[in-house]
Amino acid sequence: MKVLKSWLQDYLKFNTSNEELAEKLSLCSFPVDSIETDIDKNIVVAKILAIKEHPDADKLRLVKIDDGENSYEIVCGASNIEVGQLVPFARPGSRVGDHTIKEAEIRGVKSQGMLCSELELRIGDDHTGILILDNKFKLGRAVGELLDSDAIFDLDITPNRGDCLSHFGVAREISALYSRSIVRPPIKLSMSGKQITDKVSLKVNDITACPQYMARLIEGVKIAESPDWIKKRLDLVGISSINNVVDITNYILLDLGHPLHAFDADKIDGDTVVVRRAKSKENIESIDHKQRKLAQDNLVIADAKGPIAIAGIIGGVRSEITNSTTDVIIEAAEFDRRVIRKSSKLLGLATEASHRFERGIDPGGVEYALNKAVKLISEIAGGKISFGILKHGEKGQSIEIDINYAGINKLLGTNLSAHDIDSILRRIGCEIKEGRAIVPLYRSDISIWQDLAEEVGRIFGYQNIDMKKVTTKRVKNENIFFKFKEMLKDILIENGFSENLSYSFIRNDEIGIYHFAKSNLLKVSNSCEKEDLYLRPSLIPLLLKTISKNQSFDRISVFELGSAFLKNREKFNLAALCCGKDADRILDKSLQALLKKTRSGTLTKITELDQRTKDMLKIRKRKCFYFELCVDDLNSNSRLAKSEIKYKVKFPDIKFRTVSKYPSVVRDMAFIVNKNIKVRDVEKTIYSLSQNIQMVELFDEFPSDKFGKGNKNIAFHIYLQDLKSTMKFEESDKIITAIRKTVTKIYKAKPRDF
Amino acid sequence: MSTGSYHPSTIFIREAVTILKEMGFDLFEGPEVDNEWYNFDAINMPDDHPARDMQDTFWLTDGKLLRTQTSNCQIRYGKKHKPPFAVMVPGKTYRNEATDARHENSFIQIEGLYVDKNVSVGHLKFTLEHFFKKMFGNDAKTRFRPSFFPFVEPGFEVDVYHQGEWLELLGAGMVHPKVISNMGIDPKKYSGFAFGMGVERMLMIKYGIDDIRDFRSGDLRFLKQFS
Repeated sequence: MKVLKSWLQDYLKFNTSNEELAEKLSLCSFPVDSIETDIDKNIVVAKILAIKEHPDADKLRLVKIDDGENSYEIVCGASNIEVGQLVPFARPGSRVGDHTIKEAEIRGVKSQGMLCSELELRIGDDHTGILILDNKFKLGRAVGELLDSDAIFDLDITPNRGDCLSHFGVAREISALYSRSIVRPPIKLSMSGKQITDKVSLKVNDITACPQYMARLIEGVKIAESPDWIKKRLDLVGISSINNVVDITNYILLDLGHPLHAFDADKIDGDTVVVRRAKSKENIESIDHKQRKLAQDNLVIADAKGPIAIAGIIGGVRSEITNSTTDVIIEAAEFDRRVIRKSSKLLGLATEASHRFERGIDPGGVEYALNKAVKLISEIAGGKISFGILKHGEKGQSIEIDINYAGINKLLGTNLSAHDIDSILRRIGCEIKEGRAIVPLYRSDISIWQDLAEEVGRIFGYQNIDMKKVTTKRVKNENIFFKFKEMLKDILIENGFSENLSYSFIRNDEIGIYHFAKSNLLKVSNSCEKEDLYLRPSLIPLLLKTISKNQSFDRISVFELGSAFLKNREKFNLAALCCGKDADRILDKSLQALLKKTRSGTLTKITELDQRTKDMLKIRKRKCFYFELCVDDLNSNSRLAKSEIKYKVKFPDIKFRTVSKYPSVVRDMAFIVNKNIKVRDVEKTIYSLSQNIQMVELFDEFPSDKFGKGNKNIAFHIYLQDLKSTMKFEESDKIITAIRKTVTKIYKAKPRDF
Repeated sequence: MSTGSYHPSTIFIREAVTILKEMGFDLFEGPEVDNEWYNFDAINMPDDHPARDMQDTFWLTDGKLLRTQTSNCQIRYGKKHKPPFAVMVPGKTYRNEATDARHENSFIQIEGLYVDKNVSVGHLKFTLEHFFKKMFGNDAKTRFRPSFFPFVEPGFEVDVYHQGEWLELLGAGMVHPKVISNMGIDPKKYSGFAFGMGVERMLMIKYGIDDIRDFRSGDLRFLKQFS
C-alpha cells in the first residue's frame, strides 16, 4: 500500500528523514518495500574536490566533484561553495523540476551535470546558492532518500494490521513508535433543508452480518471534476480520478481506512434502503459493467426493485453516481469480515473496500468517516447536508484482556516492569484499568495476552532482547530411516552417479508413455496450467527426461530418491538410470552395491529402455538402463544394525559456476603427462584460464609405458559456454589454444590430437 | 571413472541436520499429501481468514492437498510426543504458482520447533544466531523484524547478515497457544518457538545461484558441480 508523506503529515508532523522512518517502520511495524521521492534518484551526494575560475566567464566557476564512483567537472554560478563540502549533483539524465539534465557546454567548457539549490530540489525557497549537505552523508547516495522531501512509501502491511490500511492509521502507528500523540480534528457539519428520514428510511435484516449502518443525504450537488489537490493525492497513491463525489469516497478510504459508498438518491426505488442477504436467482450489474449472479452468501444493499449494491464490495450500476446526479446518499457501515470474505470469494472479486473489511475496519470510526466525507462533498461539490442520519446499531464493546505481566516477560525473555509494559500498551492505544488492557476497537488483531506480548516486544525492540542459551538433551532415538535414505545416496554417488531432483507432477503424455492407470493416481483439481496434473507414482518418467537434456554427455548416470504417490500410499522410491558405454554393467554394479551394503535381499530388476520409448522421449543414446525400488521396503528388508547406518557429513567448499541458458560447445583434449601429476591440479589450471569454461570433465586416465616410461594419458571433455549468447567456434578455439599452451608449459605435457 | 555428485539440497539438509542435532533437535519426516486440518486448521489458518490468501494451494480431487509448509508434520510430531522436545522437519512443500526465474511451485523447506516450559524469544534468537554462524561463518548475524504468520505470536521475519548485506531469509515466531493446544499440549504450561526456511533460497545465497529453476533442471552441467 502506498502512502504519501505529506498526507501523513496532515495528522502528525515529523522531522525524521525518509530513510530513518522507513527503517523504524521495518524494525517495529512492517516492511517498507520502497521509497519514491520527488527528487530524482539520479541526484546524488557528491564531494567538491576543487574549484577553479571559468576561463571565459567572471561569474562562473569550474567545480570538480566526486560522487563516489567517478569525478566530474561542473560549470556552476554559485558563490557559496567550498572545497570539501558535500552537495547535490544532478547527473545527466536526471530530472530537476521540469527539465532533464544533459551534458552541456557553458561558455566553451563542458559541464557534466548540475549542482542543485534547495529551490531546484523543491524542498525549500532558497535559491541563493547550492544546497550544502550534511557531511555525514555517503557519496553516491540518492539525495531524495536523505532529505526531507515529499515521498511515497510503499508499505507491505501484514494481514493482521487492518488498522494501518490508511494514512491516518499509518500516522497513528508512527505516533506510537515515537511516543507522540495524534488527534483527529472534530468534524462540524452545518445542515439545512429536510430530514433524511423524509426521503428514505433504513431496514437492516441481518444484524449479525451488519452490526452498524449509517447514511446521510446531501441535496443539490454538482458532479464535476475533482479539485487538483484531491486528484494529485489519489494519483500519487495509485487511484484513478472519476468525479468529485466518487473521488471523495475513495479519498476517505485512503485517508481514514473506511470504505464508503455513494448512491444516487433519486435512483432508489421506493423509500427504504434494506440491508439483507441476497435471494437465490437475484443478480446485479456492478459498476464495472459485469452481470453478477448472487446467492445467500452475498450481503446486499437493496431497494424495492432488488439489490443496488453488493455490501462491502462493489456498487451497482442502477444507483451509481452519474453526471446528472443531484442528490447523494453516502453510506458508511460495519460489515462482518467473514461475511464479506465469503461473499468476495464467491464472486471471485476483491476490491479496496472488501480488502479492508476482511482485515478489520475501525468500528468506532464509522461516523467520523461518514461526516468527513459528507463535509468534503458539500464543500467541493456543493449541495446541502440534510438533517438527521440513518442509523442502525452501535459500535461494539472493546475487548478487555488481563495483562499477564509475568507471561509477557517469560515469552519475550525480558525483565520489564509492569509500569513499562503498561506504558507501551498505552502508546499503542490501550487504556489500562486495574491490570487489564482495554484494547482500542481499531486493533481487531489483539485478543489474547500473547498479542499484547507482541506489541510490547516490537515497541521495546527485538534487538534489545538478549539471547538465551537453549539447553536440551541429546535425542535418544535417532531417526534411523532418514540415515538409511542418506546412506543409499552415498552408495550410488560413490559409484559415479549424480543425484537429481525433479518435480512431483506428471502429465497426460507421461501417463500414456508409461501406461499408468489413472484410477490409481492422485490428481490435482485446481491446476493453474492448461494441462491436467497428476502426482507421480514413479520417479522414472522425470528421471528419463534428464537424458534428452544432457545430449552432450556421452555417459549419463543419474539417480533420484524421493516421494512417489499412489492413491492410498505415499512412499520413498529410489530410481537410477545409466546410458552410454557399459551402461548395464555400471548400473548392475551399483545395484549390487546397494543390496550388499544394506544387507538386504530385495531384488529389483534392471530394465532396458525400449526403442519405442526412446523415440518418444527423443533419446539418441545407444543403450539406456534403469531400475527403481521402494526405499521403505528396502529398509524393512535390511539386516543392518542401527550403528552401521551412517552417511557422509563433511563436504568440500564448492565454487559454483553459473550454467548458461545458451548451448555449450564441448571440445575434447588429451595430454600425456608424468603419472604423478594430479588431475585436480590440471583441472584447476584449466578453469583459471577463462570464465567461459563451465566444466572440465575427466573421461580417461590411463598410465602406460607406451606413452613413455612413468607417463599416463589424461583426457577431458571441456564444456565451453557464454552466459550471454551461444558460444562461437572461433571463441572456443581461442580458449582451447590457450589451454593447450598453458598445460603443456606448466605440466611439461604432450598434447594429443583428436 | 567420473565421480558422482550430490544434489546441493542434500548437502544443505545434511549440514543443517548436523548443526541442529548437536543442539538437541530430533528429525521427523511426514506426508507430503495431507488433509486440510493438519495443513491449515491445526496451525490456526481457518478458511475464513485472509491469511489463507498468503498461499496458493494444490488441491487434489480426493479433497486432500499437497502441503504448503512442513508444519503439518510439526503438528503430527507434537501430538505424539510429550514436551520438552525439539524437532526439525525437512521436506518438499508446494505452492500453486506460476514459475519464473525466482519462483517455483515446489520447494524444499526445513522447519524447526522447540516446546518446553518458559521458551522465549531470547531462546529463538540464540538458536538462529548459532545456526547461521555455523552455516555461513562466524561473521553471520541475525536481526528480527515484526511479521505475521497465523501460527505464531509474536511473529518475525529474520534477516541474516552475510557477505556485507542483510538478507531476508526466514520466518519464525513463538508458537500460537491455539497451535500448541492442537498438538494436545497445554499452552498454559508450555510455550515454544518455531522457524522455517526455504532450502533453495539458502542455496542461491550460499553458492550464488540466480535461477531457482536450476535445482530441478536435471542439467548435469549444474548437478555435477556438487561433487
